[in-house]
Parts: sequence; C-alpha cells; structure tokens
Amino acid sequence: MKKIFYIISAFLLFAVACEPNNTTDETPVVGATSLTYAVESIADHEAVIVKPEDLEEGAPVVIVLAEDLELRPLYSPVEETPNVNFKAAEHCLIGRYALCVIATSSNDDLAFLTDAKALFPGTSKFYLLSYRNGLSYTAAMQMPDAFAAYGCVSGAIDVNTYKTNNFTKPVSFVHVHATGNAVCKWNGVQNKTVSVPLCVGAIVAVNECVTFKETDLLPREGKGRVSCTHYLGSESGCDVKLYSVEGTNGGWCDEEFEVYNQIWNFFKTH
Amino acid sequence: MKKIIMTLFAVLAFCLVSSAATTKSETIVDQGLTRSYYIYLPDNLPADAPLVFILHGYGGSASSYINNSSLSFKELAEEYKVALCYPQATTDPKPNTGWNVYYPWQIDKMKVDDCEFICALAKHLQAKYNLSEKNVFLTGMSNGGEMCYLMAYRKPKEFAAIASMAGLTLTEMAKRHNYTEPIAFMEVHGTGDKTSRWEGDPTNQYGWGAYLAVPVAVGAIAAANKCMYEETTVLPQIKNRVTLRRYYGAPSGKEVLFYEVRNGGHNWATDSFDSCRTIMEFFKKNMVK
Repeated sequence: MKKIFYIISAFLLFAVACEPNNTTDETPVVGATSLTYAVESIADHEAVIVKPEDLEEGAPVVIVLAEDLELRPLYSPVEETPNVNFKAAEHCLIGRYALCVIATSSNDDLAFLTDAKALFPGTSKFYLLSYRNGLSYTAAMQMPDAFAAYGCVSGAIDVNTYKTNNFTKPVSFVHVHATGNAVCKWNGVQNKTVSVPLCVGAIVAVNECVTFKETDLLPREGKGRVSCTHYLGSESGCDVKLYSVEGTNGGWCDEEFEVYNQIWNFFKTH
Repeated sequence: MKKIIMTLFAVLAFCLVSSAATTKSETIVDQGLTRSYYIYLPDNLPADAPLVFILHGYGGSASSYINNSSLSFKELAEEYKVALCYPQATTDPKPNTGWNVYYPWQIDKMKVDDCEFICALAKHLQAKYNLSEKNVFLTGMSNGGEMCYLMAYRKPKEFAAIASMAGLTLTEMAKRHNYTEPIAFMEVHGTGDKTSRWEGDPTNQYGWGAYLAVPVAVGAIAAANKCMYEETTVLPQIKNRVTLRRYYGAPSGKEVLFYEVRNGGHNWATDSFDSCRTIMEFFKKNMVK
C-alpha cells in the first residue's frame, strides 16, 4: 500500500511539474523538491541566489537582472523557510540550474557581472536574462563572449545605450514580449526604448542569420496568441528567438505560456 | 506674307517639339563595353533636377520597361520633375540579360561591374543634362531589386534613396560586403512571391543562389541605419492587403520602409497599391537640399 502511495505521489509530482501546453521535453527531477536561498552583495548590488538543494557543482547559472527584484518581496532572510512561490525560481528544480537574481538599474555599468560569475566557481555555462530592462542587450554589445546565451523579458534596448554602443559579435538571444506592453512598448518609446523587432533585428543582423521560422504555440484558455519567430542559419550557429505574446502582460508572460521552459530550453541548447 | 506664315509655323512647330518630353536612346562606353540606356526628360525640367534610375529584371530589357504602360513612372516624372534613366543590362553567362548580382553562374564568370557602370552613367548624365549630383535615386524590380541591395552595400553615398521591388539580398552579397553608411531604403515584397521567396532560400533550393529571408534582409538595413522605432500601417485594401512597416529614429534620419503585400506575387504590386507613386514620394521625401 505504502509502495503504491509513493508511486502515485511520484507520478503526481511529475504531472504537476509538466505544465500543460508544454511543447518541450522537460521532465522534473523527482527527489529535488526544495530550493536553497542565499543573499549576496555583488559590487553594491543586492542579489538573491536560488538553487535546488542538491544541485551538483558546476551546474549552469542563469543570472537575472531585474530593476525591481521580484524575489525580494517573497523572501525574507529571517524566515527559516523562505517563500518559494516564485515560478521562475521553481523552474530551477526542473532545469537543474542556479538562479542569481541581481537588482540593477538601467544605467548600470555591467562590470559587476564578472563579480557575479565569480560567485560560482567551476561553472562553465552562464546565461544572462534581463527582466523589464534591456541590460542583456547592453551586455551582448559590451561583453558578447561573457555568456553562452542572452535573453530579455519585457525589456528593450535603452535608446541612449544604442546610440553609443554596437553589436560586434554574434550572440544567441531570446526575447519575450507582449505586443500590448504599455510601458516598454513593442514599437519603441521615443527617447527611451528601441522597438522590440528592431532590438531583435539588430542581433539577427550581427549574427548574419539568413532565414526564420514562425511557430504558433498552443494557446491557453482565455489567453492571447503566442508565436515564436526563430531566426537561424548563421555561420556562427548563433540564433535568435522572439516570442510575441498577444496581450498587455508587462511581466514574465507566464500566464500566457510556459515561458520559463521555453527560455531554459533555448539557453540549454547553447 | 507666305514667308511670315511659314516662319510662324516653324516657330509653332519648334514650340510644340520643345514642350514635349524627350525620350532618347543613347549609349556610353564603360569598362570597355558599349552600354545602352534610355533617358526620359520631362517637359520644362529645371536645372539640377533629380535623376531616377529604373532597372529591369532578369532576362528583361530597358525598352520593355520604358514602354510598360502599367508603370506610371513617365507620368510621375512630369509631376515630380525628375529625369528617368532606364539602363540596359548586359548578357550574362547563362546567357540572359541580367545585372551582375552574384548569381551562382555569374560569380567569377561575369566581369562587368554593374554598380560601377550605374555610377559612371549617373556622372555622365549629370554632366550632359545638368542633373543633380546629390539627388540620384535607384529603383528596380527582381534582378533590378537585387541591384538595389548591392548598391546599398557598395555605393550608399551615391544615392539619396533606394527602392527595391521584389528584390533580394544574396548571401554572397552579405559575405562580401557590409553596410557602411546609412541609406534611405524601401522594399516592396509579396509574401506569395514564388520567384524571390519571402522566407528566403538559405540552401539555394530554387537555383538563384542562397539568399536571405526578405524580413531579415530589410532588418539588416534598419539595423545598419540604427533605426529605433517602428510604425505599422495597413493601407486601404484594393486587392492584396498591404502592410507598411516604417523603421525610423535613426541618428542619420534615414528611414527604412517595408511594404509587405500579403499573398502578393513577383511583380510591382500595382494592383494592390500605387507602388510607383509610393516610390516617387519616398524619393521626394529623401531629396537632399
């Protein structure tokens, strides 16, 4: 009886972790059920490191640059059991990677990223994701060799940064953006942010991608269309994915599709 | 009395002739070859008038273009006060009349440099007809459109604006050249074009040589210009739906206009919108003062 209970529990865990509308082959690692949290200071930047408690040394690290540190309100260092109700963090369990969320502002000098990487000795694969800002684009311009792949969710290149910086080397990049984002607008914001297709297009151009494929993801009930344009065919092998999400979600767009899986699947192929 | 009447007739005849637009078939020697072209000079063309080159497609001819009634460039030239030049391509190794844009059978076999030829012709016409040195524009269809991309790579300073119709960026162009200067550029392309495919042909499946997907090719120019913003407009529908994507906000002010003709074929898309006038308006907007 006990055995049957364990089998059913394992199956349920598996089922819960596999999201509906999932186009990926991700499977959770049963057994790793809790996350560890640590607060660090990286060159005056506050950072929270989240990882599965049994994560092997040298596992990949995703660094997230966020202006408003989303993990912070959900986590209190004084509590013994931090709140793990943060889907991006939970995905570490599935992807088997460490997440390092760093509080930043859009004008930051990105030199601190070197210090951030130094916190993870033995790690060979680092990925950079900017959330609600375009710092990953800045990093792709200024330090194209520092990360295995780059990503951006609901952010775009800062206009002034674009005026003074250039993309010089191919990089692999994934961008997720809602077409109705009212703050960081799809078509750009005068004197603030560059249009999302033009941000992506700039990397497609430097990568010398030659073609693209468009795929519609299975829609979630009551949610808008999510489509993925995959630019590929470059000699460097660097590709670019743009997920356009119908709607006004200015955040992770995780209600519309399984965004963490999609981003991670992109990252892990690089 | 008879002499006066004859003189008046002669004056009248002269006036009639001088008030009509002039189409001339001329030649120029360039790179050791005698190259032919038509020049169309509208009535009362002012000094320093702009010069617009119109390039035919692969296997085509300048004469078929200047006599093509579905293209309204001659009427528009009168209205916009520009000179038109229809150059003739040479015969390539296939052998077909075509501009040298690095098609597989042209590479290393076709010696003529058509970019240099067009630039030499521009200088020749500017001197001969007192045309503008700053306001030189280029448009072309298909193989002529490919020349538009090649010119944008190689001779961006020679043109105030370039408009490609159903043109492509061959990967060979992208391998050999980089965009070095911002350029005002326009592309009109049908998503249903079976000759110059919207989605590109990265493996040369269709024989024209490998080429970039059209949105990628246009995006490369927008990126080189550092355009920052986008504006999307759906034009009033006549036949196929036409969507204009305007990329603007570049430090140079050079814009890129991208007309997507939904299900449109390999043509000037004149059945879906007034593409010739749109090109002329684009050129007018990019006129250098």
